[in-house]
Amino acid sequence: MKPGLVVDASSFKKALADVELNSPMLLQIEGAGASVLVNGMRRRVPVDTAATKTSVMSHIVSNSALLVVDDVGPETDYAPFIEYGIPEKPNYPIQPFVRPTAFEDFAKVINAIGYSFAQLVISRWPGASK
Amino acid sequence: MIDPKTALISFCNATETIVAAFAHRITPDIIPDGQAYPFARIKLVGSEQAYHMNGEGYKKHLLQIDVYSPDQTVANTSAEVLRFALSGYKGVMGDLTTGRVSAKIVQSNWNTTARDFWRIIEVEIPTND
Repeated sequence: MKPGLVVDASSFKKALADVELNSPMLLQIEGAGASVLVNGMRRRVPVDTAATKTSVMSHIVSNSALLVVDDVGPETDYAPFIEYGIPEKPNYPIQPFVRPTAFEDFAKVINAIGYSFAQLVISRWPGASK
Repeated sequence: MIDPKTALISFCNATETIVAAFAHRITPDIIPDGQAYPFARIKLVGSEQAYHMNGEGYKKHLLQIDVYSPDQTVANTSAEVLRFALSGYKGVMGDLTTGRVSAKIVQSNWNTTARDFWRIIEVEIPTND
């Protein structure tokens, strides 16, 4: 006896064809990745007054049905000095949080974006509740 | 774990062009008092660690090299010497065996107090060690 396995990709192709990406959808997909970065930076940033921590957010530069440009990061004027150091105090310790987040959480961002896109395709699956 | 800063300094001290530019004045974390120009200091920014079924796997380290000189041309050329030696390098680096190293100059600053030029190089070192 041989076990039989049938893979029918026609529903998947139909679901993919039904996904017509528009600007709000792309923003939703991108937002999942941006949230990972925002959370990662807020977790790593050194806190005194929490001004920099609360200033870390997503800044949509432009968005269309094809492209979303999002500057995720802190807004305080002194954030670059925390990240890179202070010219006047070369031995002042740096406490980087933007680069480690981008560096270490890259895979998580891709996963979040992929998962968000997959959820969108699954919602178009025949028989899925819309 | 092998310290990537120590490995990078070993590489710099073994590379003729870097020794000619800095004369072994590349230090980890702290710049010694009265250090002669040009000099550089290495800081660890972040590390990525992957795991497999038998334990630790691939690692990637992100380091920041700060290059200082009161002369703009010297600051630029010294930073470029470091970048050129590191960018695309693959092989033995101190106690590490590295994959292709990525290096880029990301910032240029002028220090109004010390009146020197400050160049920042970001270096990514992938390794299995």
